[in-house]
Amino acid sequence: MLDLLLCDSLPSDDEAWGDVERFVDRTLRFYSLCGVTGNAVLDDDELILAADIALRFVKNYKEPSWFKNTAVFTLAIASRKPFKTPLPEAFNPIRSEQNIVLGLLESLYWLNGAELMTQEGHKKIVSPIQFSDHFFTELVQAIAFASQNFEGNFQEADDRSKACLLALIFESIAYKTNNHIPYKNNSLMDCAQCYFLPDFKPSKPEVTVKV
Amino acid sequence: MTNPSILPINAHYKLPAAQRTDLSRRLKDIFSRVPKNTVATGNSKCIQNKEKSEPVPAWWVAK
Repeated sequence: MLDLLLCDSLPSDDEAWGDVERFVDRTLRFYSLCGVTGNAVLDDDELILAADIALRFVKNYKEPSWFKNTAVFTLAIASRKPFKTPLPEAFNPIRSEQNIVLGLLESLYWLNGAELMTQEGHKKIVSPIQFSDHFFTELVQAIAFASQNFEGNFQEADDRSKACLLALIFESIAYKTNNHIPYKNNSLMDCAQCYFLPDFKPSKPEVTVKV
Repeated sequence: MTNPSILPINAHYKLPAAQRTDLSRRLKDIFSRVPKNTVATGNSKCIQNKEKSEPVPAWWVAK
């Protein structure tokens, strides 16, 4: 469903429905491979609402990054809770947070292999993004709090800060396994080093402040 | 829960007709009022990954 967020213009009905259906298919496959049998319960209305919230939010950005798209998508799924079937016991203590887990996994699915057109050229996330069980659990719990009153309102500082902070988390974990992705030009951070190293000489000329 | 679907785990999902209509209506509304003053992110633009837009393979269905 994240592909829906990338549309620059109104997609055809078939495209839009297909984007949503493929996402649900991946979640069903995941349930199946994790050993869940029988049926899964899905609230279709909430699924559509999640798509609506996420798309409406990202349309406020000019060329949002993959990290922002995945963050908003995860928060939208986490807040609308379309998936009603808990994960298997192997996912304790987060098995009842299936919406957050599925939102996160779908986000990683799209981030892995994602191509980014940055100010420093074309870059690709080539190594799978990974983290520890501890990080996974803490992240799910943090998103559970963040999504409690997330309404996808771009004008609300609360909603916007949650989306921005989660995007930064996605960006940080992507950098961890993909050293080539971070920006190389960091003149601002060069200057910031003075705080820790008084003898450090920034590479840029000194800035004089006119009073 | 207003409209739950009971989905067999080993089957492809199809969005019900009512939700298809609802999604199409919402998308038309969103794209008809895309904000004029969008916020520049100053970082990376997404590139669509066609490979991932392909349907989920059927190998896991009908076990």
